[in-house]
Amino acid sequence: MNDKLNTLMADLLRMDSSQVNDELTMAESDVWDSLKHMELIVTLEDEFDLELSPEDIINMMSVKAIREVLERKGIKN
Amino acid sequence: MNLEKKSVLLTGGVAGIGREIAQKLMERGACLAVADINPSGLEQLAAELPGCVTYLCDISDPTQVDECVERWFEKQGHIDILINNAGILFNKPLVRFGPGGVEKHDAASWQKVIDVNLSGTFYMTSSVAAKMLQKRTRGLIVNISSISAAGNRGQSAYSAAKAGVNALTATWAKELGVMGIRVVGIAPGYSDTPSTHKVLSEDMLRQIKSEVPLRRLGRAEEIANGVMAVIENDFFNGKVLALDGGMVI
Ligand SMILES: NC(=O)c1ccc[n+]([C@@H]2O[C@H](COP(=O)([O-])OP(=O)(O)OC[C@H]3O[C@@H](n4cnc5c(N)ncnc54)[C@H](O)[C@@H]3O)[C@@H](O)[C@H]2O)c1
Repeated sequence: MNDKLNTLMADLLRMDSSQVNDELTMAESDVWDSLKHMELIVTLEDEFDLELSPEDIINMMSVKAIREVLERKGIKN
Repeated sequence: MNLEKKSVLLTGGVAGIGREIAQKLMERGACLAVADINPSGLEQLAAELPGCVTYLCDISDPTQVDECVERWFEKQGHIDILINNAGILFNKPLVRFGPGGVEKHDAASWQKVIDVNLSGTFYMTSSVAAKMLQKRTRGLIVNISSISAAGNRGQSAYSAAKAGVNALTATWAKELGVMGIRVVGIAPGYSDTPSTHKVLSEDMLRQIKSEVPLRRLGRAEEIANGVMAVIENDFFNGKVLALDGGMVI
């Protein structure tokens, strides 16, 4: 798990970082709504200094999917 | 926010308060587009303010609003600031004694005032905010409200519309703040503009002035100065600044 991503997700979703794992999805989280998703996208772009395409954003519906997108852009653990 | 070279869309910039705002934006080096429903007024504005782009647009029509926003966005590549100023002043009591007996506020004028003053602000802001989000622009929305939002006698539709604008200002500040977009409001008190003189008789204006601690109407330039102040102060957000000479409705 990417430490920085883990911390960032925990902060955004107001969870303990131990509860954030690859299986966490937008659909299953009460907190991760469409407004939170916008905040997530802007935060990821700021923190990792990258630009996410509309396709990336649509795909980033789980921690696993976010990690995959970040990895495709060369951001690793 | 510094206005130099900023891409700004202003509604209702042909007359009154909007005209003063347009002037000040151009003086500060903004790239300005004005959307207004008055075609001859837009022609005159373009002649008076060289470089100001004009769009004929009725803000109460969401299709026209989207077209206008699209055209300015295509031209500029992004939009930094939206100023929702266009509005119509309207007075009518809820009920009154008329020549034929008791009359009630008609639905058509209620709807018209809500369409322009409230829905127009909603259509413009949703369209511009979508562009800001698309380009991750850390922009600004300025809504021109009114002190009548507190509830003013004889202004059911106008007061309700402006109260709605205040609620939208607070709501959007909460929604868009995380993207770095500020949303602010300015609530003028009674101001010396053509619409004020059209809607209110000289007697009514005298009465109103006597209720203002400063004993006068606001000047369009003073309201426009307030708009410049909230643009420049990057920590002002989600609130509506009253510029009313101390008048309490
Ligand atoms: N004048 C006052 O005393 C006063 C007080 C409080 C708030 N306000 C608010 O300030 C703003 C400006 O008021 P003003 O007194 O300068 O008015 P005004 O009538 O002098 O100017 C309004 C401008 O908006 C344009 N407009 C009207 N309907 C439109 C539409 N559907 N689509 C596009 N443009 C449209 C007009 O053509 C005009 O150029 C309004 O939102 C008004 O409610 C005014």
